[in-house]
Amino acid sequence: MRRAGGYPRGLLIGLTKSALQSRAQQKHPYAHIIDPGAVVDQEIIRLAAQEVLPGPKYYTPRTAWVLDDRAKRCTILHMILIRFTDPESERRGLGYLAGRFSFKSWASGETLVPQVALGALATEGIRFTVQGPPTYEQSVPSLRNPSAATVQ
Amino acid sequence: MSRAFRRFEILLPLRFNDGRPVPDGLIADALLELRRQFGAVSSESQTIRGVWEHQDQVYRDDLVRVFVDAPDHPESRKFFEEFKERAKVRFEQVDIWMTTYPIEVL
Repeated sequence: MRRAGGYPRGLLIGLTKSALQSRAQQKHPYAHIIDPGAVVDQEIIRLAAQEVLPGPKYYTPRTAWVLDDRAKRCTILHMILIRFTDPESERRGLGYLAGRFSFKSWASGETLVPQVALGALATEGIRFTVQGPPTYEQSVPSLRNPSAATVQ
Repeated sequence: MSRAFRRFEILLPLRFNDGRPVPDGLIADALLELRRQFGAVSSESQTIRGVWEHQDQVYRDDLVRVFVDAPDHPESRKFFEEFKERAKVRFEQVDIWMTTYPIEVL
């Protein structure tokens, strides 16, 4: 029996994030499984996903595959580049995004947000324009720090 | 050719110590300052819940992780040391947790 979205049910239940990533990396050495909301290298994830778990209807170009460890289900995360229309909207937008959605913002004025953030920004009355999908260089996955020194 | 950078991670509070939510604008001002200085700033979606003891008082924090990749120069560290002091005043905190580690950008 297959879950909605085309995944075999048994494949998802009981799989940890590291196990799923290990499977993906058997097919593609640079595959990553990421946490919801993280900025991802979409092209790499797309390749890994297509090779590991075929399901053309579920995967579309420029999608990221995310494992929700708590629910053991997969969600699709699109990352979109936006530009706030004015400095005040940008200030409100960045303040709203922090703690609610993952994002990266450049001094050029571009901000990379998950697609699900677009509606939330609009609902708050924060004005922006959509620039489109990110480039490969802009889609940088978050690193996990093995150790760090405290800045005193 | 790899480039030597240093990642600075800052935990900014989402609530003041009396429980009042930190205005979004205050967070935004901090983010824009970092972005202006280093060209880019990133933030994660999850709220980090912290508990710490200071001088026999227990503080419970809701925090957001913000990080910047900066050139591994003394000037970067100096900026963040000064930024930390400004943030402590801005967010009315006894301390702002800030860590740093070297990274290699390929």
